[in-house]
Amino acid sequence: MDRGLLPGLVLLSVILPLLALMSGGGQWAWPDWSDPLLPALRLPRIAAALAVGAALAASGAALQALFRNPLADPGLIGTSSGAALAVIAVLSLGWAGVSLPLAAFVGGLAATWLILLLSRLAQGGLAGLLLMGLVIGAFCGAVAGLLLFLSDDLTLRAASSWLAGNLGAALPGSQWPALLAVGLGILGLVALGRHLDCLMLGEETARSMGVDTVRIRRLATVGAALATGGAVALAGVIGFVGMMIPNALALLAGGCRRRLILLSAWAGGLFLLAMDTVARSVAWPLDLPVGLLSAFAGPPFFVWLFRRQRGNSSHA
Amino acid sequence: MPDIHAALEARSLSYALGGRPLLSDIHLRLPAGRVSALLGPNGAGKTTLLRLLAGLQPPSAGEARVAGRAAHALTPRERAGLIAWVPQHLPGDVPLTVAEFAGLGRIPHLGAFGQPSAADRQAVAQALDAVELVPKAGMRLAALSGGERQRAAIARALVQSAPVILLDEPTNHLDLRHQHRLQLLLRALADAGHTVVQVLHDLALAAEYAHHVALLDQGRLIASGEPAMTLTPECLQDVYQWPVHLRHHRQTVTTRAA
Repeated sequence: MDRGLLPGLVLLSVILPLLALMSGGGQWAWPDWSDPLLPALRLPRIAAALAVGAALAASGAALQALFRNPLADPGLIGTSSGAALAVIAVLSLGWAGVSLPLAAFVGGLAATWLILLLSRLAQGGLAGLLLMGLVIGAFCGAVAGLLLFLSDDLTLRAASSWLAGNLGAALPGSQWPALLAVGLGILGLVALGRHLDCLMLGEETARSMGVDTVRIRRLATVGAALATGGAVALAGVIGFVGMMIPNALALLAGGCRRRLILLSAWAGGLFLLAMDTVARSVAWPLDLPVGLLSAFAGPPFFVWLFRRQRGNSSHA
Repeated sequence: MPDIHAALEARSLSYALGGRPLLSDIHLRLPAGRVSALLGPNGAGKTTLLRLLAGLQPPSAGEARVAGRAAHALTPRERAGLIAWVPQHLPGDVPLTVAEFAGLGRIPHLGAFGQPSAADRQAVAQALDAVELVPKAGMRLAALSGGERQRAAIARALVQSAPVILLDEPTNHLDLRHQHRLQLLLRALADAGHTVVQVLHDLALAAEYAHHVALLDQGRLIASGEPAMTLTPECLQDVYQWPVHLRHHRQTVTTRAA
């Protein structure tokens, strides 16, 4: 493990929340602790940013092992789209009383499971998986678009701001259950870390090592869907965090999955907090969706990683 | 401690894939605490037999038994406690270091949140020492040569400390020195009470190091027993359809300078 990594993360864990507290109203100022806005607005938003980033990065780290593919990302392979579709369905159909984080969890679970199933049936390897994820994601997006088209203006407005990945638009009443889902999901994925390592050695070898591969796949899917569902309920669809953070960390800290999931959660939370602080202050008084910012950083990283993968596999 | 009675047994074992028989009616007993080699030409069914013995696949008919129990009916955890499996190939993109990879052999002994104990770490160090990979312990698996990766896979199996070790063509990527070192290591493991079964292509290695050989051809067991009695020129010529000349050495174990 790179020696500067842990001290760096600790340092950022102090600086970034402080900067987030200091930024507000288009200016930077030492936080006024007596300001009632602080506990009412800023702290929940910081907590949401940390949780969403942690959930997406940890899910990404787990999904990359599950699919044996470093390009897997909850936003890219359709987990987030499935979760978002479920939330939009609940919102636009006006099913009062259905918990939104629960809907997000079920939607994310269904989408991931479907992709896992289809990519195994098609046996298309890396390309097959990405295509399946893309197809499922696009399909979920199309259905969500149809639902939004048919729904009234008020729902449309709330949903579209949230859908673009906006931490300021956390759905009412969903914060605590969503944080709980994120926490449980990450904890579950950490517990599965060693078994995910074995899964990467191949189905048969993993089974010979005492790993119930079917059960581990199922549990990891549930864990990733829990964490991602919580993140989607908090901030809509934010792509690429789940792919960038674990891959960057794997270069610094190695691919031991449990450690990678833990570090990804830590660094992912900090990354999204930094992005959100920038998103809040760069175009004040506009509150840019943080999903937009991370989406700008994503594609160049994706291209770099894809080229790197191709380079590796041509040596093998 | 390894169980001395943990022998492997095939009882009228058959396996077919898509209607094509890969193994037919195999009756075989492999002795406990010995090194056995499964021999035969390509497509004879050696690897299939090894997988059935490991319980990684249910047989079409008959039974593979390990320590007196049906191999495919073992739970994953029970299987890992009894059998360590060394596959022919590891994926090239495993992102672990050699030590982390070997440490995965302790999985059956660790809880979900448990940290490896000093004893676990020592088991890893010993296994890496046995395959001469201590200097590479911190290197990524992907950076190793094919032979080194194979030795790492064997170290991982040793770390599992199961009484039965099954290896699918373990000498495939190894150079001469490491082929012989591996065979000596397998003999030493057998002396310590382990039951070792390996698929081999090299008849000379088998004749030199195995206590017991089983010769397969087209899914059938042709002969089984001590190498000297089993590997006769007539029998080998028949199976491999190639002229074979045998020269006997006085000692069974010699590391020849080639």
